Amino acid sequence: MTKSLDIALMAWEAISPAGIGAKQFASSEAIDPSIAMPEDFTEAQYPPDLEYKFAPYEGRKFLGPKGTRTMDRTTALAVGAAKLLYEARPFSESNSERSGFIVGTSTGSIRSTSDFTRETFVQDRPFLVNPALFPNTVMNCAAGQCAIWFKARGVNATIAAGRLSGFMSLQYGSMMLRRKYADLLYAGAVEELCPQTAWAHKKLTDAGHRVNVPQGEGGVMFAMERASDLIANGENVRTKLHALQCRRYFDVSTVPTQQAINGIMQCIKDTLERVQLTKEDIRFVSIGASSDKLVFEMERAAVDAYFGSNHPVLIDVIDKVGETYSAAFSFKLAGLLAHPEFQNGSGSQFGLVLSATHDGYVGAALVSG
Amino acid sequence: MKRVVITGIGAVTSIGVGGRDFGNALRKGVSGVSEITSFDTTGFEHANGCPVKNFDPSKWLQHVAPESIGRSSQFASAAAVMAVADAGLDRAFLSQSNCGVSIGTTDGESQIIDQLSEQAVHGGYASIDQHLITRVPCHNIANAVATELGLRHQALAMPTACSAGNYAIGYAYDLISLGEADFMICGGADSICRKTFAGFYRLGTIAPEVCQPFDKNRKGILTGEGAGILFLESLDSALARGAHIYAEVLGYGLNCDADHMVAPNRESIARCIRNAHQNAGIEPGDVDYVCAHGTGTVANDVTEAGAIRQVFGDRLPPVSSIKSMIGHTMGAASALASVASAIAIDEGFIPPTINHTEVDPQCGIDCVPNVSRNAPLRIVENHGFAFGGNNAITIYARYES
Repeated sequence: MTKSLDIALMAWEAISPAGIGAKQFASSEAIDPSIAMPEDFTEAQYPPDLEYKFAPYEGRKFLGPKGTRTMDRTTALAVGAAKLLYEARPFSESNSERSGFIVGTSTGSIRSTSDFTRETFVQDRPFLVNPALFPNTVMNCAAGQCAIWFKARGVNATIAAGRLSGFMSLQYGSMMLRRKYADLLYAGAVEELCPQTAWAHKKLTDAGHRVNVPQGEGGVMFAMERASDLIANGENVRTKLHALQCRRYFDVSTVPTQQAINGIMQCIKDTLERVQLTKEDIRFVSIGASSDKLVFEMERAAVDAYFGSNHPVLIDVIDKVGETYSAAFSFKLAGLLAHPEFQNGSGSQFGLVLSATHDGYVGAALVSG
Repeated sequence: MKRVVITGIGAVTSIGVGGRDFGNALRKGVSGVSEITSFDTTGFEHANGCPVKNFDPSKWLQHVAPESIGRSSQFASAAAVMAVADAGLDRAFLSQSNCGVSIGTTDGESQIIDQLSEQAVHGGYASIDQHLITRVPCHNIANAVATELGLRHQALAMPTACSAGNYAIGYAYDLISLGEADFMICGGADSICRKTFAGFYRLGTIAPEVCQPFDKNRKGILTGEGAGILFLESLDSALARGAHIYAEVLGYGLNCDADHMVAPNRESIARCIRNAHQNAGIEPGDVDYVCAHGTGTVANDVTEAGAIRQVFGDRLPPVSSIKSMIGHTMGAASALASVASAIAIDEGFIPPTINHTEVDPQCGIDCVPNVSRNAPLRIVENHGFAFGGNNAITIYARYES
């Protein structure tokens, strides 16, 4: 039995297929997908027979021409979300060494890496690559650029855990705050929609590993701080992160098994036990946001079995954002925070964000608002 | 807060596989240089690196089919098996315990990405091999370790480029010190790849023959590969089971330059050193040896030496770079340097900087030229710096009961 994590989420922002900013994300207004189609859609050879949910966002327009000439989309999505969040919850110059970014991504910009590698094959000599694009090929490019844009000189990290990347960025951020290495962290995740990820989605869908949901993209960030510090400073903390729980609860599975469903239920139980809550305390559960059909079915079955007749409100942002892989968990948390009933709450409602992966890991975040 | 110690090590490097062979090679000052053969180097005028030769993962892996994972995952999981055996534990015990995984990497399964990119060049995206796609995300490296060892606690990768190993070790130390995990398998892994070689080559930073950190005649880095893994547990746990303690993890420091994606920043590195000292509760005068980032480029070596002088003043400890022997192993670099630090503390010697011909007066440090030095080490500081301005420094100490 441990006590609450004492983490305040004072603001969050997102750039998503639903638009730019948390307000747009929360809005139920549907965006015409054709306005967000990239100009190079045909030329870049996206598979023509998939559905897409591009974010209606251009880094250079949103961030301005300075510093964006060679910026790839993964970094632009992260820096764009960071810009919104910095405006909503800034840190002062004197706190720059105590402030930082944590970005979840499992590949960095795979488009940058793949295109750079491509040049080594198609140029006259294999080294005739564009050196200005080389930094885009490291997976920490987005986090490093976020730091540069906002002069955040404290903890800066890039975290990879597949669909749990957004979970792990919260977990990492909470550890950094608990150890007092930092005072304010912008933690979240990013995923870029590009020909490489689109073809991966198509191949995996054709092979039966994924269901054919639209592919999406986006960047999401949450401002994390120690709640007790803020309260001591007289701030009103409404949204709090109380517990994070993750383990490998079941073995790799290609069909829904009772062991897997039991494992997911055990994760929910372990999460609530961390802060001595019961299932009756949970009003919302955010699941899904995945093209992995098996995982969705198992999450759903576990929630049904665990909560029974006392069923919480189920949230699934798949229709809003599509398949976003590394950003999925962050979008699921955004889906909870943006839910009208959660937003209108008094700060004493609990919601659970739950993600399982086909290889058996289950992560859950318990949030109040 | 719990004290955290290193009780097992594993290493896959161009100069030795396993803690003992790697340690012996460090002491002898062995060079791991040979010609890169893992990709077609036609068109490059020189292609020396520090590849791992004749690596057979099936010697270590029993629960993950080596052909089902990428080379970086093979390196990491083999080194993890070594570290667990070295710690005197086994899969049956760890699978029932609270043991997690954190692995740093720069390029993840870069050889898989090279392959997929080449397939797309020749046959279009439609021709890419579906089976390779799922191996691309870099957390597969951590998952492979967890699967091989049957671990149930959380697993993640930290792709913070060339300081990633120290990031992963620092996070593992935090998890144990706060009681969130009982054991951690942590470190870093990377494979030599075409993309990174071409990038550094284009920047003019690949040495044609050997890597000479802190040397006036240096010509750049050599790309290397491998994995370095530490097995961490609380001091109480290690004492209770009578484990051999290589060293204690005293603490670490992280910061970000927030200035330039590629160029290192002296002030920022100095700040990171001070952060690490503060978190570890030590003073500069306590440090007996600095295991440097020491890549062998002018930009790194002069900046790093300048930052060290800024913090340590006139009382400079010896500063050597094991990259002279194993090349720049990217995300594995600071993890392998951590393994080297643990061995150095345990056995009482300082690994040399080999290939040394002439002191670089701009650096002005004792780089332990060419020959290792016997020295009873109490505290070692291990540097990792990266693209993105991600600095991470770990501090290790001899455990004295």
